Amino acid sequence: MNKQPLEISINGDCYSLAVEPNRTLLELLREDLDLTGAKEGCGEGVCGGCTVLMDGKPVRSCLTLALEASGTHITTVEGLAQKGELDPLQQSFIEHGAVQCGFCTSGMLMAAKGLALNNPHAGNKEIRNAISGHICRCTGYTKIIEAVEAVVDRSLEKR
Amino acid sequence: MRLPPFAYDRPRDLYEALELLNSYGKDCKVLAGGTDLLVRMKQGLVAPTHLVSLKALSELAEIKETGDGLQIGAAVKLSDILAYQPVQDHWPGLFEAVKAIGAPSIQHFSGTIGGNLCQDNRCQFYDQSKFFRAARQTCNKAGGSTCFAWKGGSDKCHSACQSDSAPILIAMDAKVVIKSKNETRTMPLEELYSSVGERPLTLADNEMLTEILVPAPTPGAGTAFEKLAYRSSIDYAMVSAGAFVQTEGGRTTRVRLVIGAVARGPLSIATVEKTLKNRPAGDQQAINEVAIDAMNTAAAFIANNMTQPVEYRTKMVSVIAKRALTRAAERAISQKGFLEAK
Repeated sequence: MNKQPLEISINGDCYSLAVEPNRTLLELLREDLDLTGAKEGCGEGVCGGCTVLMDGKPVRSCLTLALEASGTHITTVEGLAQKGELDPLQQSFIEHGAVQCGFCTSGMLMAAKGLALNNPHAGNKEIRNAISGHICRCTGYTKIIEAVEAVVDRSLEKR
Repeated sequence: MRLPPFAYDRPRDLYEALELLNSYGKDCKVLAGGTDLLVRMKQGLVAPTHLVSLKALSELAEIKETGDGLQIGAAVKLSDILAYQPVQDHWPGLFEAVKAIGAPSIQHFSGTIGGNLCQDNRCQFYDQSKFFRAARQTCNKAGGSTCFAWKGGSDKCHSACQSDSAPILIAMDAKVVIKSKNETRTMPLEELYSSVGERPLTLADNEMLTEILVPAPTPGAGTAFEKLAYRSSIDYAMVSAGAFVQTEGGRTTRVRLVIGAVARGPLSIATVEKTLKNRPAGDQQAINEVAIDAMNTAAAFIANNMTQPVEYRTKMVSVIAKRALTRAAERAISQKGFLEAK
């Protein structure tokens, strides 16, 4: 099939690409741009491993055509750290032991980031709701929720 | 999982989109959020040669309150419905139903209301990978001539309509606007569903759902939606129910109950109105009677199309129906309109 033009901003860098219509955003990120942070778990929108932020909102990159993302700003887990310094969420995941095998982590981080951007003072219920579409087979979720809560708490202290 | 090849169009206005649908016909599918269609394409259940994207059609992405009620564009994102204040204030049943769809990071920012209404029916033997399906004969829905979900087989498909928003919208007498290149028709939402498992929608190949019209809330009315699933997100419903109750002076004057996820289309329970009419709103004995009716009606349709046992789902119809009706009645009588009349 014919490739079509795609203008997209990923982690602050603008790209002018030509992609096939059946290329998903996930394939574009992982295979064409070597951004392998987003993972393919199920490929059908159930596991959450491929979650990226599109204009600040979490979406499943495995169920998003690359062409449908044209003109948007995508943030992947690679774009969280700024100037060599980890995002507070990433630091908190490390401190709380919220990472075990790590396969779900980038998706969890992006969901948490999306929540933090849209609702910086989310409570426990909102955090659980935000990661409810993500599956983790190691941690039992408790550490992940604690890690996100800690960042929310810290931002409260700063106020 | 890879998507099969197809051609992609992104029309700039509705007319252009309908023109494309008209010329491509059955080889073409409308792409809204993609959370249902792209999965089915990956599994090889549907193989359109053309996708028509609704992404650029801002006229389909608008939700607004008018004097007649709520006007929801088919491509309005589920998150936008939840965030819309009038829905939170006046249509609690719709709010509950939309909240119950999928998981936040699927539904909220990709999935659309039109997509939820127009999703294909589901069955545990059909919605599977090619590899899984290759181990059995081809079923009715996949073009074969058998049904694994119906005990003893069947010449009909017994898949379930899994839209969470349909039962409550039908209970509220919502209408839908269907457009094709040359025609616009408005019809009750329930007529969108054919109750044919193989082809669950009454849409022609060149037609598209463009708008959902929800009547304005009336004083003394209440709505509620209930869904039973193992997990509170991601999972499809084992049973769901949408209820609308209209009261006057503490008595029920009009009521609708629609059961979802059990039949080939949303299942309206016809006897509800007769049993509940003129009885005190929220009367538990009356609601119990209706719940049993609902269970008996649904029992004729529930097939082994989900992993949960048929017997359990059948029994749960009465429980879920009861909860929905009770909450709708509570909402109806706690509203100002009724308190003032008292």
